[in-house]
Amino acid sequence: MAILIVEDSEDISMLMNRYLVKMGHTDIVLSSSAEAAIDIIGLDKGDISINKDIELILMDIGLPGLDGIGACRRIKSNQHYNDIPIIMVTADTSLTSLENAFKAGAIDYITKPVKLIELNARVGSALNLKQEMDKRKAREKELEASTRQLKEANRILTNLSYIDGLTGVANRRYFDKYFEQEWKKAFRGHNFISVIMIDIDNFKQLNDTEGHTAGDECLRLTAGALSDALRRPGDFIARYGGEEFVSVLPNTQLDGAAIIGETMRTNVNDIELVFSKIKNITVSVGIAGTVPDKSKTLQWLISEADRALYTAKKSGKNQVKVF
Amino acid sequence: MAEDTGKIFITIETDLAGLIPGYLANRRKDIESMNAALDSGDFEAIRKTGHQLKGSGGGYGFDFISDTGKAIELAAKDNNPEEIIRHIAALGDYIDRLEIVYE
Repeated sequence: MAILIVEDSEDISMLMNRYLVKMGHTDIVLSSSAEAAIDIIGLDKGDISINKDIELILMDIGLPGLDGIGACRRIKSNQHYNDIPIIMVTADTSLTSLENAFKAGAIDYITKPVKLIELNARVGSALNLKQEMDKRKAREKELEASTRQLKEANRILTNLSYIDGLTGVANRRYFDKYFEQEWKKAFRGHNFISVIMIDIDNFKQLNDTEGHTAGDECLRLTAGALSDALRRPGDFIARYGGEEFVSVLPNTQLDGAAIIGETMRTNVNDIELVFSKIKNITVSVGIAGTVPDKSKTLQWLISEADRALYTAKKSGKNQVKVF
Repeated sequence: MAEDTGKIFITIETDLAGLIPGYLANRRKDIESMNAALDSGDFEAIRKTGHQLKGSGGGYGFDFISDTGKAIELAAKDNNPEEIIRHIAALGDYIDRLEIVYE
């Protein structure tokens, strides 16, 4: 980190350089004009990575060409450089001159002729202030990063809390939330909404004869086959409980829902259980749908789909029933 | 500043020893340039030099140079050649009689 002296009088810049060295500063850059200083810090290069790392600027006010106040204003108006403290160095201590310097963004001024004791005190306090500001900025950045990580962790946790750990599809909790949301949408928009209840046939028998590992694998494969039947972004499948799944199809009439139900049934029927003596699994499917109104509840629609499912079971399983 | 047999003794920090000869040589050049500016009536150039003398002298320990620079700056603003000549002469005399003691 360097200190930049911008001073057109070589006698004064050499003197300040000598004093700063005496004060223990080793990285000092001299510039005889504001334009050269702007070039040194890389202000006009449009690439902040190439700038010399300046921690303090000592700027003469009465420079030829662009004066110190104009240069200060330019540096302070650039967001990448406006945290570099600038101390004006001037023999002109008129109120107007100093007011303009502070308005331009200078944090302090040193009067010429420059005396070691004053230079030492003002440079020291400016650098202390800069270090404190840098520390605070670093802490703010850390805090922002932590907040981002926390938000991401919360998002992951929320997602995890909505996913059924075994099958990877949504869980009952998320189904309740999603279905209520879609029910309200359909109610407001007077749209048709369909629900499909799916139950794996003879699952208890598979579990009893092949064990829970086989049962779990069967659930995973069935969930995948059911998900594959859904094509539209709003269509939704969840594990309802045990070996039962439920699907919500917004804006879908019963005939469309029946096609999807049938696709689900055949998808599951195509699964081959290579690990089991029972080679094939089937599902029974019950479908119900409605345009929600004040006389109906979402629980009613679920129970209708459940009734259809019950009918499919009673009618011999591995089939689709629509109510 | 103390006067003794015509010499003006000034005590300067040893740290600045390397800079002093150059600084004083530059002041002799200032005297030449101000005299030339005076001949051509360029009071603005004289004012600027006076301003720089004011800003530099005291920093090196030469308060007289700062004071004289200030006086030259004011005289140049007033377009007062007599005053300028007087102060330039005083500056030359001061530099001639200087005896630096480093501590």
